Amino acid sequence: MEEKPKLFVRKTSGLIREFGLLSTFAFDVISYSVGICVLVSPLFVGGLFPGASFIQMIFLGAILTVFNVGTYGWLAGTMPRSGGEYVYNGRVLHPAIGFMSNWGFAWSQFLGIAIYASWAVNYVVATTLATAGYVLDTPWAVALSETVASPTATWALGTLIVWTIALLQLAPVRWLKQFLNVGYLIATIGSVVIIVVFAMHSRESFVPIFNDFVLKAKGIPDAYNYVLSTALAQGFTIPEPSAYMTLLSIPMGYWIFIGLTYSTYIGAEVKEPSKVQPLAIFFSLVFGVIFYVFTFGLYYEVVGSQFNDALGFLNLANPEAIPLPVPPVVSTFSGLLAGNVVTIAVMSVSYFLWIYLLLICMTTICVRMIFSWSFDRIMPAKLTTVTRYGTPWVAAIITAIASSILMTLWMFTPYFQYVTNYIVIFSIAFWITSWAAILLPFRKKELFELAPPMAKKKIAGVPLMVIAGIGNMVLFSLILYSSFMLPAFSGPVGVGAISFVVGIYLSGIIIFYIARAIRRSRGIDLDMIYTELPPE
Amino acid sequence: MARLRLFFGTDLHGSDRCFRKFLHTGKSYKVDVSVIGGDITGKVIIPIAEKSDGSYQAHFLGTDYFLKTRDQLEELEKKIRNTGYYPYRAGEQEFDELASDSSKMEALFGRLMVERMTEWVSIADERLKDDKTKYYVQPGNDDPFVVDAVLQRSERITNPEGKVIDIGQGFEMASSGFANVTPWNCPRDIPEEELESKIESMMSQVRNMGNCIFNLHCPPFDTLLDKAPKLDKDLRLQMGLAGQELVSVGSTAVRKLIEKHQPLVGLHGHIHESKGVANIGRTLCINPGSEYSEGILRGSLIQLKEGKVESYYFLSG
Repeated sequence: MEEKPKLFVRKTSGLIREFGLLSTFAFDVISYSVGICVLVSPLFVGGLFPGASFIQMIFLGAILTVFNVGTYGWLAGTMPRSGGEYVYNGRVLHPAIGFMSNWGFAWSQFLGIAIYASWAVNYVVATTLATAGYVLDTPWAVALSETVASPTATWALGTLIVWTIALLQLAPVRWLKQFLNVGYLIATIGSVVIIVVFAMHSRESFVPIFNDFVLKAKGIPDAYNYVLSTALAQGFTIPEPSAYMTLLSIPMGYWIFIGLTYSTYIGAEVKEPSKVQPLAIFFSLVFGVIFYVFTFGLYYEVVGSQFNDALGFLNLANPEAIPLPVPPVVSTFSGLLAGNVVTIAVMSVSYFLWIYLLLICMTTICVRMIFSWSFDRIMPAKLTTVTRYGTPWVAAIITAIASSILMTLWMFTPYFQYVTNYIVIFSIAFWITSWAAILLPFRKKELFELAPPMAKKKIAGVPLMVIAGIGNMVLFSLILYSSFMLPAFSGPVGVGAISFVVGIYLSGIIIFYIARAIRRSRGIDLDMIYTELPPE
Repeated sequence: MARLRLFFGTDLHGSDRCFRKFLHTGKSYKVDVSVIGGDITGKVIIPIAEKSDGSYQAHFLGTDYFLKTRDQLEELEKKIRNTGYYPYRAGEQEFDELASDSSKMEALFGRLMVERMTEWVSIADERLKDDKTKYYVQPGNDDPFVVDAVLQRSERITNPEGKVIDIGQGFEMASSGFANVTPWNCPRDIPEEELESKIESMMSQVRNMGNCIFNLHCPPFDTLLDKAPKLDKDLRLQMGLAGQELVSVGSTAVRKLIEKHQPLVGLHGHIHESKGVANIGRTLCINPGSEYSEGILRGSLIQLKEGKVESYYFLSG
């Protein structure tokens, strides 16, 4: 049967947006950086949640993350403007709340950039040198890996990474997009190689390779059993499967996907946002679940969960007792198993690219957020200065400076051990955004009319948008609860840490109202920026 | 000399909701002058097919609608109008004819545009009776000439096209909705030379260029306000080694005249995604962009005082 026309269009000049479904999907997958999660998750879970089922944790995390997908995907589809919670909370709740939540989120990103850049050095560059040195039988490379893993070298190389990314921000947006797409492809190919490497080995082949490596690097024989016996001697007990521990691991189950909503922060650059945003975010979640189940299923099969948990225990209790020259992360084991330099190089490029691309995405959204604040005159107009290609260079440099300072504090001071709780800082921003989704259908009815059709569907008379918001609130309430129960994962929870988090959010409110007063004295009323004009 | 507060929005593209919001700009933003800089008519007709059983069927924004009651029908039509599209009820046979006959389609577009403009003018004249703000609405390059006559009939809205108008407090505004030739050959696309002479012909009427506003729909060439994807002759996007290619599509004539005359402010639209500001010499050029399909009236609020831009910022109303 012939298809009837669904609309008639006349010749007029058009509206074009930059990111399509594939680019947005790639941006979201890069933003939760499967590379970082693969690198460190087993070590963290083994140490923090002994007895938790890793696979159950992935599924539980993914199910709850669906609410996060719905909340951010549908809000972005309804309000396709760059800025994330700054826009959603600003329009639905109050401009001051929008700025406060986005300000808090930006701090978590500055901090995340600092931490992840140092991980790129420690967990990728150092482990690559160590494993390649082992395969090539070149002791100097193994020795160099220890130097690279030292605080000073990590800081220097990490800072270099942060600043190369700031320079990349000066490129035209289409170049940056292309770089992300190509980088994503290469990183994915490398990740497939990692899966293949684990698939080609068994416990029986892994143990002798590991023992041989440690013997050469540290002179310790039978290192596999040495790790287990050392951990047991220091208080480690072989964990029983525990549903409670699996529940407590929910923050980790979400953390492995954190970032999958980051395309919402560049919302103005996404084509057909009401369709593309929710789809891209959802597909990136599905991709992550499949990828993690495969990779971690194989990893635990080869390395052994007791061995992994013993390493995780030692990593928390007494890192010095681990008989390795580099951190016991997945890249160390995959590099040892690879057995040749080419495969190690391919995997290392992949690990590095996952982190590097994530840092680009995080920097990009920080730049966009700063730009949004300045465009709306909450921050000085100078921050909106752009190159002739339209890239906001001042905001890019501010992001790099903030991250470099935080990295210095992270590497050389005990400051972070007392006050900075990364998980709590961003969770509060996401928790607040739940309210935007819950209240949108009631406070902004006309705007809700423009929401993606799926968001408007109802269950028992309640729009799915509202249900997603409630689920998102439950998710982040659980994460906040768990963060306080397990500070070893999320960060400190003492008076200093709580004061720091409260201070960040409170300073957001204070900055907003100071800016409002200054602007008002100059004839600019910030309250007008998002005040919706009567539509009738 | 007193201050002048001016709201500038652009590219409504038929959005009923945006136009109705525009009528509130005077009181809500407390401005002396409120301007729409062109492209006021819609681009798309949404067919609402009448079925033999009296029900209606339509497809809108990815959703199929099966409408059985008049309330449902009117509700959908309102949504369509708010996004800038034209709902059109007819039998399936008529839609088949429209699909195969471009002249009939063109005539229908013309009719629907005039109907909506007539309705807008009527609402404006009714609602703005006691509003002291001056309202200006000019057609842009996408708008056919039939809308000029409708605007002409309004008592409260002025079409500033081709004129230099004293907008109060010593400020003047020179306006043109024409643009350089686009790949779509829109109704008011003209060659650069013609555009230059059209704008230049107004310049002799300007008394004080230091207090003059250029309200020119097309942005100046090679600024942040005029970046759009590069297209080939078949209107397909051009992809280069570095991905989608963006090019400047603004007018060289507009740029040349801004450089030559150095007005106080340039108000521009045309490229919806190129929201931003650019300085050409002393002239501050602004494109507030457009989110008409979301029913959001984007705009800029500009405060002027004697040869100076005191402040400007972007609004999402």
